[in-house]
Amino acid sequence: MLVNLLNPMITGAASSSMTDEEAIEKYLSSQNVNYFNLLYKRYFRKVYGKCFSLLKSQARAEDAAQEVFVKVLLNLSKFTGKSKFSTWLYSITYNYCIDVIRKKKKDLGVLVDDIGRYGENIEDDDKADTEILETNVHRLKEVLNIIPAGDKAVLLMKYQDDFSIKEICKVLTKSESAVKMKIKRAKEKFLRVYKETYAGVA
Amino acid sequence: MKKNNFKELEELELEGLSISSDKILNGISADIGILRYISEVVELYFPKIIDLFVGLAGANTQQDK
Repeated sequence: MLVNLLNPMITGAASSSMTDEEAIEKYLSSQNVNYFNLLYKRYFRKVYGKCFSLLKSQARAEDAAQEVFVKVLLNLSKFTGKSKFSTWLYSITYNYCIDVIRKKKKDLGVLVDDIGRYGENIEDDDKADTEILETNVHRLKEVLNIIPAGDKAVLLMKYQDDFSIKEICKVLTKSESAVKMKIKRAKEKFLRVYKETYAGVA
Repeated sequence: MKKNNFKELEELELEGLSISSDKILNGISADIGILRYISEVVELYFPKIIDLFVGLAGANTQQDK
């Protein structure tokens, strides 16, 4: 029997005031697709937006968003609630998009194993943070579209979705020091490209 | 408080997106349907396949018992 998510057979009290965690709990206990639909409606635009931003193609973004939600539906019972549902969902989204890009281009800049030069300082650079966060939105968009997708993904995870270092480690399946190094390099690349692009422009 | 420029960019990009939520939901529905169908087929035939291998290996299958 096909599962019809568009016209669920069972009607339930999936209310928009329900938290994500409550909806998941209800879905798992009742298998009522209304609860999944609630989560889908809440997040599909953001998931699609992230896919589109990273994959830069409407068709590929649609496919990716679909795959992400299928993965979510199949793995909902594995959601432990240790992090927010949105963080878990976006982790799956980034993971999937990074895989797609990796398959497309064998070498994805920042995502390859480059733990960093021995003794290089990998601590957070507040000055770079401030510079990046003070960038004008339109310039930010421009520069993010120029830098490699791997760098862009890392910066989006850190600044747009407020992922912790540990959460980024899980997505990239890398150690904490490797992730810190990737973030540092992504920031450096961003600032370098910004300066090159807007050199002499007020 | 000033809004984070990355979040502002996300909102800006989302405003410009035109996508039908039903289109993706239809795809999810079809994918899940196929997966369920495959799992039902496997569930139905897997014991028989095991019996076949057991029989080929020379042992008595469940049906023989």
